[in-house]
Amino acid sequence: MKLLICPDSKDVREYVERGVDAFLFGMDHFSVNMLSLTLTEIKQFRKNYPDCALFVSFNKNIFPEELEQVEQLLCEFSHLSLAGILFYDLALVRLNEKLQLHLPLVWNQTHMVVNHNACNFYYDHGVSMGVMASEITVPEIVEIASSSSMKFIVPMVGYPIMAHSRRKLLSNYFKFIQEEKKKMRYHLQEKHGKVDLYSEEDATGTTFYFGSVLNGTKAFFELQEVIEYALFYEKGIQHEQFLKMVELYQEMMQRSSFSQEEKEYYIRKATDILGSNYTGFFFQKTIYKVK
Amino acid sequence: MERIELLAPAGDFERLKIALMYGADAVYIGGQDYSLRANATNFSLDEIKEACLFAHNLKKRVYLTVNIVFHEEDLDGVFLYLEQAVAAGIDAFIVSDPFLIRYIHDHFPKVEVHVSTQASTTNEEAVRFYQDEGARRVVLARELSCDEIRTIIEKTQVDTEVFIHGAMCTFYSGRCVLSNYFTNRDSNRGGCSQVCRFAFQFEDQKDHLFTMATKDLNMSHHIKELIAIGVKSLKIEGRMRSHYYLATVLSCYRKLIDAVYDGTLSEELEKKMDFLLGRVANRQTSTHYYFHEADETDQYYTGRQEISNQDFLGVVLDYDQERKEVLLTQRNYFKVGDEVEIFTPSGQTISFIVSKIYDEEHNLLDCARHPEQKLWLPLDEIVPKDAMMRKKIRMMENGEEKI
Repeated sequence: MKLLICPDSKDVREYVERGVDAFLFGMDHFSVNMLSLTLTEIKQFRKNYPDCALFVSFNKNIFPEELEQVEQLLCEFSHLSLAGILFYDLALVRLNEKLQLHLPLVWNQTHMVVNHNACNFYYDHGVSMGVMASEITVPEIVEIASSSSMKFIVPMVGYPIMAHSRRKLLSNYFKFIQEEKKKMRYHLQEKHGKVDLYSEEDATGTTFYFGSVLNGTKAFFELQEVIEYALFYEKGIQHEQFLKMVELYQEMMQRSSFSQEEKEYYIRKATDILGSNYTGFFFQKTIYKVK
Repeated sequence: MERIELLAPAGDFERLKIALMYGADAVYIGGQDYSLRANATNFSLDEIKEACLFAHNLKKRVYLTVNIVFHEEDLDGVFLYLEQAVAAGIDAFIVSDPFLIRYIHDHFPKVEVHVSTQASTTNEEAVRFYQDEGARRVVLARELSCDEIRTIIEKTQVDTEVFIHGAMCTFYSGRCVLSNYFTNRDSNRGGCSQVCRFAFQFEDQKDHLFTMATKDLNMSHHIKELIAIGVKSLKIEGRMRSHYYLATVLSCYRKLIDAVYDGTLSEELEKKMDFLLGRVANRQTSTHYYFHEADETDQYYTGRQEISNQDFLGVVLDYDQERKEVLLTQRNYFKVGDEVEIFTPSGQTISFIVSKIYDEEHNLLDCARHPEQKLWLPLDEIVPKDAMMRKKIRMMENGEEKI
């Protein structure tokens, strides 16, 4: 397992100094939920950090009027030695095949990467890596990884993404109540419950994040030999906290075995740093029939 | 000339019969597994077979949803299930998980594969991807505008299906797992608990409620445009909606579609159908993304806004030609002297005043109080079984009665 960092700043020197060598950024205009770079910035990044693996995300839904630009960008990418191009929209798979670009596509349909048959389907279409959904358990991750030829990225730290809409839900709301929208990110609470969430809006629409930060450290020990990258999203986390989590995982990744006491030590330490012991769905199965 | 298809939801066999009788050309149903309405009644394999026989006798079609996003535990048995569904006679599978497309295409070449709206397909290259895999039809994402739909149709050879009426998802289909996080129910496997209709408060602004809820979709004024741009199928949402809702919505859209092809479509008919659709809806409606970016007028920002009325009075069970009386099963209160109308599966509407009400033993009543009670009403016109009685609906415009 290696670390893949999705930073909240374009300046990655602090991470590189700590030995991080894999980064994920969004593609400007074509990504959601993450900091994005322009093509020029991506080229500059490749020059500045030639030894780092750079993943670029195209995780928005693509509309007909955007296809031409996507095609141009993909052609440019074929010369940039990117480590991975994350896609949500199947237009990227189609264009990659049609134009014979042989790009390193990474399946990132946020909540859909949940069974090995679909992984193998995309693998047969030249997609060699996938970002697992955050809504499956550790045993499911292990089963999928063992039944598929794909390599996998698993989100392990960050605010989980719950939903994305093309609607400008915040702008529309403030227009409705005739007040000014003053912030990019809003904290909401369920009126009759305890659950809270964050909402952000940009040109692509509105995204909702779960209100507790995911701390996947408890799952680390079972996944260490199974997955390629642990993905850390910095967004919403204090920079100092985030750096400490990076250092902690680098320390953990140096080792291949842990005693029970050592596991508990690292879990406790991660909880102290993040202020969260929320493990998402790593150890909790969802249901769907309520009868 | 091939006419556009009117595609209806059917949560169970009774709804399927209503949908097909009231004008649907095809229905989509869910089996007891693998369907995104996990908590609807749904169809057993025997019922699927019965449904197909019923539909095929009417020269209509049945599509089976196998549109969950499969987890590992769901994979066991799916291929056998597909085989059994094909043997039961279904005409198409509606799927979202891509590994099923090629499998169905290769193993059951006579059965169509339709890509579910769950896949949120928004451009022609994605449509072509599915086409190459063997899909015959793609249900396009509800986030597309009319112009974008036209572009996709012009540039692809796959049949396209679009939603025209019913509840909308706030988020891209497949890109919302609010239900998982709030209630532990997996929305992409049919467990959606509609968190988008919950009420929220901003941490620093508690005097205003915030919901993500949308108004419903209603395209009754734009059927001609959708036919003109080449859409192949018009889809109604709502496998869990009532019989009366289905009958009303389908009869309205049936009239609109037929009027386009017969050259009799008028603004007045559109208004009349829109009005009837409004009476049966429990939320306000809009056209959402079809003609502009969805804005604050497409949303509810003040909590739940659902209303209901008691228009629906009964379902016709029989007609006694000797006594000239109709036998109904009651659905809402009505009394002697009320103005009512019966609308039939063939599109006929008969208005009358309730002159007398008898119970099943022919005792005279002054009103109908009890749901499901069987009642006889004098009526000169013959009406078929499964016709529905509602309050006389009047559309008022500038104080003038229009319907």
